[in-house]
Amino acid sequence: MPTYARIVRVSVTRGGGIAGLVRTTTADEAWLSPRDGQEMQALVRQAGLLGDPPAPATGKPAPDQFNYAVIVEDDGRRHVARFSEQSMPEQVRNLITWVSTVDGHREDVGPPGPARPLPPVVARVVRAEYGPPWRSRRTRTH
Amino acid sequence: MAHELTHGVTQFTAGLRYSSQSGALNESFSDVFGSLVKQRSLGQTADQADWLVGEGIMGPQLPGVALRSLKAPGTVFKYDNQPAHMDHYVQLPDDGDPNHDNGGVHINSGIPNHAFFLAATALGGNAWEKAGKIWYTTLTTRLSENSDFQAAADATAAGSGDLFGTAGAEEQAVRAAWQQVGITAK
Repeated sequence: MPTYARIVRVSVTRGGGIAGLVRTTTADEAWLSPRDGQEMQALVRQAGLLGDPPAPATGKPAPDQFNYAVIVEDDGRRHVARFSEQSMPEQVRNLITWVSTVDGHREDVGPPGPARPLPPVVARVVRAEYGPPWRSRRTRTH
Repeated sequence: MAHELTHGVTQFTAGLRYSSQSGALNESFSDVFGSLVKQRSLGQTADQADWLVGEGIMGPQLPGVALRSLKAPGTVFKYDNQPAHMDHYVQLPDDGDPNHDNGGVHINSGIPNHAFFLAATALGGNAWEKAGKIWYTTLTTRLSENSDFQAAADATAAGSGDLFGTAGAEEQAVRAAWQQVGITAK
């Protein structure tokens, strides 16, 4: 049986633009419904963000364009991929749109400045696969 | 709109690299010429102008009067952290992290922006006639990819002398303006 990492959090940081403002959008699995959590797994895989990071965009940064960092965290590892508007693949764009609109996502805006560290990924409790509302009484820990 | 067009002019003239000080200069020239186009179309002198950039896009998500101000950097918008003086220059690495704004190009542009405002208002009249001309020849003939604030101060001082007479009122105003933001032009 193939093993794969379980994605627990996706953060998208967008900077640049005409104001240089920094917008961070986060979808943590703990904030999403189980169905959306599953969707997140699939979208991250489709975006190809778990392997080696794509080659960094070459060429000079374009004025007033957005630049993005997509940070995917699984149990214990952080994958960071950087994109400009021009270099962003379609599947990554899909993921970003999804993260920005999914029920339960969180957003933060601020001026440019020293990068704020992301909160640590806490140990996860695995939800029961079956059972009523997702905040189930019965849970298992690994 | 003129802000964006000026990036095009910059690309084909000085070619100021969009990173750290040269990038902040790149941003500043765009704000300066954007302001001059606005003032010209409204028929405003330097004293009458509001010296604001981006006031049209403000709203509930962007709380404030405008994105930036050449007259009062750092004061017009909730997230406006522009310095008006070299003492408050914001050092950020240009490492590709979106938090770092290519080394603070939208932040530190406040310093050369303010220098232009000071020069233009000291000279009075229409800002595009003298200060604007000096800044334009500087951008198109005197700067290059890695020019920093010091180079811009030196170039605008020399340019004002060439255009309007060495040690004239124009050159003095330009030198005083840069001095006020913490840079001594050579």
